[in-house]
Amino acid sequence: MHLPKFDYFAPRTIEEACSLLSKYREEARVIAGGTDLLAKMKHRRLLPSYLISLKNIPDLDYIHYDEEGGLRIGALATIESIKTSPVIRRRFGILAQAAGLMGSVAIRNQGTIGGNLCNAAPSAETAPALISLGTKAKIVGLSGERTITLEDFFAGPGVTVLQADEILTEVQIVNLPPRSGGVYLKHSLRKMDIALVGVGVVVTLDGESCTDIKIALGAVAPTPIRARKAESVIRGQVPDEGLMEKAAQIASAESHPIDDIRSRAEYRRQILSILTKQGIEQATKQAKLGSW
Amino acid sequence: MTQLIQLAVNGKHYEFTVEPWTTLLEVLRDNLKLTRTKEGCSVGECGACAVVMDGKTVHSCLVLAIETSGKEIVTSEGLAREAELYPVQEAFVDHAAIQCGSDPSGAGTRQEFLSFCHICAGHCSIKVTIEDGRVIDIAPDMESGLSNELCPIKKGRLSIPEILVHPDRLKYPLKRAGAKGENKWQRISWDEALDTIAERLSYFKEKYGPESVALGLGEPKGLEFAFAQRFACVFGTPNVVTPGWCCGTPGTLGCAFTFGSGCVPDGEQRPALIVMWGNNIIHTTGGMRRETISSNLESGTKMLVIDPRRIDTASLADLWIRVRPGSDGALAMGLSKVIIEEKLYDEDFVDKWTIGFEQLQEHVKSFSLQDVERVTWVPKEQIEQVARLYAQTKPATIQWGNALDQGANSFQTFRVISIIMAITGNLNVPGGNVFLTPPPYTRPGRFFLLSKFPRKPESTAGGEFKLAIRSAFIPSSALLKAILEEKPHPVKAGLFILTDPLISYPDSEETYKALMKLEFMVVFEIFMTPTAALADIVLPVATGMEHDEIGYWPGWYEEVRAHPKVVDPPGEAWPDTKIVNELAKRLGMKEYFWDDDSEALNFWLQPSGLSFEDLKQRKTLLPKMEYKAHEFRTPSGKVEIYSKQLAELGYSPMPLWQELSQLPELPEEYPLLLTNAKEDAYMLTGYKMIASLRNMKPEPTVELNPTTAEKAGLKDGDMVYIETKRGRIMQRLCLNPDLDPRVVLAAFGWWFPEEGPSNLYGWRKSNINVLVENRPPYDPTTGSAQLRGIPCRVYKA
Repeated sequence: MHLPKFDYFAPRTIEEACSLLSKYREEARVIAGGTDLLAKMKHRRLLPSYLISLKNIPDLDYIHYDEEGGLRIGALATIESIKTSPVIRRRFGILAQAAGLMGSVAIRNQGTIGGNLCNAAPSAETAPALISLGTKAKIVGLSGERTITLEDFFAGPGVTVLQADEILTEVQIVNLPPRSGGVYLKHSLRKMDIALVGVGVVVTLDGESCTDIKIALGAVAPTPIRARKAESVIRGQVPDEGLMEKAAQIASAESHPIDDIRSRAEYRRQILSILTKQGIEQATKQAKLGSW
Repeated sequence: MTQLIQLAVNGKHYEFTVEPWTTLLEVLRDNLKLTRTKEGCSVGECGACAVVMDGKTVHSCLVLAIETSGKEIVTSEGLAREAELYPVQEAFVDHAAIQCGSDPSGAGTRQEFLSFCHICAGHCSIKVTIEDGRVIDIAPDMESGLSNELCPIKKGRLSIPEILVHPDRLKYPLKRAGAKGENKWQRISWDEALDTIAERLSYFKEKYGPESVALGLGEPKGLEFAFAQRFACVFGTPNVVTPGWCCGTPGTLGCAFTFGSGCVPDGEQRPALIVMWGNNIIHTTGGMRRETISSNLESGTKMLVIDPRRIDTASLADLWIRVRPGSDGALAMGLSKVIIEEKLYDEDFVDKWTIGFEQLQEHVKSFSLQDVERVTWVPKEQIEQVARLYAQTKPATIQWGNALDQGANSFQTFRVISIIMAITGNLNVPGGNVFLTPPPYTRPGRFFLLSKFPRKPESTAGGEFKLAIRSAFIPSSALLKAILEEKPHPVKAGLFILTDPLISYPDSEETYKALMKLEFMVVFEIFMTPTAALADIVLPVATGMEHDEIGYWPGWYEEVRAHPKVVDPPGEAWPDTKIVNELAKRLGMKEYFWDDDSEALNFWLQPSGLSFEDLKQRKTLLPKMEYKAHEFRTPSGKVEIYSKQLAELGYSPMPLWQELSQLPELPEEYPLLLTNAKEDAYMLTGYKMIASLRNMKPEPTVELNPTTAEKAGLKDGDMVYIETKRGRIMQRLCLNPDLDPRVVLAAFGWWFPEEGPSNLYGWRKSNINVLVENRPPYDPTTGSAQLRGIPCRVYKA
């Protein structure tokens, strides 16, 4: 299959990129790794007349960590680099785990975290992990910068809140308190497939009691979502079998999965319930070990 | 907006000028002819295009060439010869990416079996990994030394694990409980299903004669086709539709009437020239093995591709001939003219071993190469070039495909090609087109019991197609006529196995009427399909790997394979062979069948002295190539350019220009010529509900030259209508600058499981057979219809 025709720009600064986006608006798309964009173009699902590559803009591909500020990942960091990053593996293991479950090694070598988020699939692999880590997204446009919570970044399937001239440049994750644990669980036919259900859970304990929990769900709603009602069952309590079961049921009820070629809604709800419970169990166990 | 790029590939430095939309894969294959990197799905799912770029594995189909400047690429060619066969691709798989079973398994046992993929006619040799009763991976079999390269898109590897556990697999016999097509079903037992079918078939046999029951069969997978043919013979109906009229048989017959048997391209001795004519085997089916072609090319073999479409094999070829769809017979006549008039044939062979050369020599004077150019759209100079190349490069082999089967002159087209092979000395020589000596086994004709229960043209629907009847099939057009017009006799009931006629028979509207008119219809299926939705009884069937099978198709390769059972079928699904066997017993045909259908496996193998268990060890029985000179099993013992046999049957004894040059006129209303191509990602009409395949090719696409599109006000990606006199369908437009501006290349075999039963799964929406009229011209020997090159027009939907 051939790609359709397009013009290609390789701006050297973010401003240049934003100007081009502002100029061409819906006729242009940003290209980072290209694995989602080019596949959609081959299927004629997207037909931008202009591609604006971010690859020649320096300082967008990085993973920076410090004790104070926490983790900052540049939008062009590849999924593979996130999977293999020692600091992410040690301190934000749930994110390395999610990155490792995405696609194949080739996809991970080309695909970027910015691309994965801006493609905004309901099943975006990195989203549940990032959301349950309380991630913030830094956005740059012609009129300046803004930073928003990641769960507010998604507006619908394939749609973000980015304005025509804006680019996602960085994701920021603050350090988690000690005695925190996080796990990402994915259900799919093969590891490399799109998730039928994805669940990210991060738990922080004080003693036996859970002081904070974030549960983020992928592939079961028009966007990745927080399961807030499920969280409130656990937060402030000692997570026991009964509560975890209850939270799992509520998470399932909070979701809005659909029937599609990969799966049925009913099946997704069932799996969601199982994975949510497993996720809370495993994250709690990890938190007890105080790995962070 | 071209750009100059500089990159290193396998240690060498290159400079290319590329467009922004050129991919790295295209540069590697088109510019550098590095054939070991393939195009599979083209969207990063299958790994066929994996290369190493600056030390990292990437999908070259998703890398823009303009972004590779300054980079170092390593392809499979650049890796050590001693390395495993697909080092980059296997590494890709080893990252547990393709394997099923994402949830970590518990104490499950893991087993491995050697078998063959059953999805397409390629039957690649595979190793199957089972865990906890589930197939979790299918990998190339690196042990047996058999052809193991999977298709680039790996459709079997990606889909079989999914098909085996798909929630929509039919599990129980179903009986229609509402109106036909209303989707009201009642689950019944096997006993009730078989008793009902037996009762109904007996009723029709008694009231209207056994010929009032027809069978519709598809491409054989195991022995089910053979069982069904045997059933038809014993039951007494000659009305069996098979794909013979549109696949394989015209070629076999053309060869048989010329030199006494079928032939295949020599896969063992290297040809100096390969002609790929009307096929895309590297991507869609079996034939010459892909790695054989690759290594032949690397050793200096030349390749010539004849195809309206610049398939990716064409970009590796020395010469690509862009022929008018459906005009291959005329082109072949043009080649024969050049070969004869320039005396490029083997004079000694022609003198001693042919009959009718002088007649052909005289006949080719009756048309000019300008005539051939006008009919085929191939410039005169290219016709001469091809003829000279084929006749003078020795040895040369021709691999043909479906496109040549699907015309109203397909038989005579193959007659000319057979003659050309023979007179240029490329027949049954190493590296040419060779005869195969089959291994000993019970050949299909014997298994069907055709000698005991012969099919007679005078009492068969479509009996005028004598060579079809001789080959134990009737064309689909004859079945529709017998149902709708009740000529030559009425057909009241149908059994359908391995087939989806509503999508695959020409003239879908007429097929719909016929199926609705049938008083009793049974469909054997693995999933609900548009045809199954109209049945009175639907029977759930075990598919490949779910029961012990012997595969012997395509028959002209004379290969017999063991396909062992490795997992259980879902629910109460039975093998088709068991269903036919049990049905036969209920119809008083026990004498000709078995207590248990599995006994037929040993029966098939009896002449070899092996049991099925033995075959499982050996995996396969293979034919021999003996290259015996001058052994032609024709009545005269020679190559019959002029065939008295054909004359006696009432057919042209020699291929004629006036017949082969007859192609549809293009009326003003329908100024474009429609043809089609098979999908890489699917097998014929099947598997549209399989996510791993649907991801790779989500929609049917139609290709047009950009100038044609522009004239019609169409843009890349538009949904367009394709309309003929008969009807219209909708497909998504993809521009293809390599296509002749007069050609429309549509997709075949599309329906939409997600549209649900009330819509009959969208059978009318994009199905190319909606566009074909069920009327003459038909090939007089087999009933083949003109499917390539149909007048049409396109406009925005």
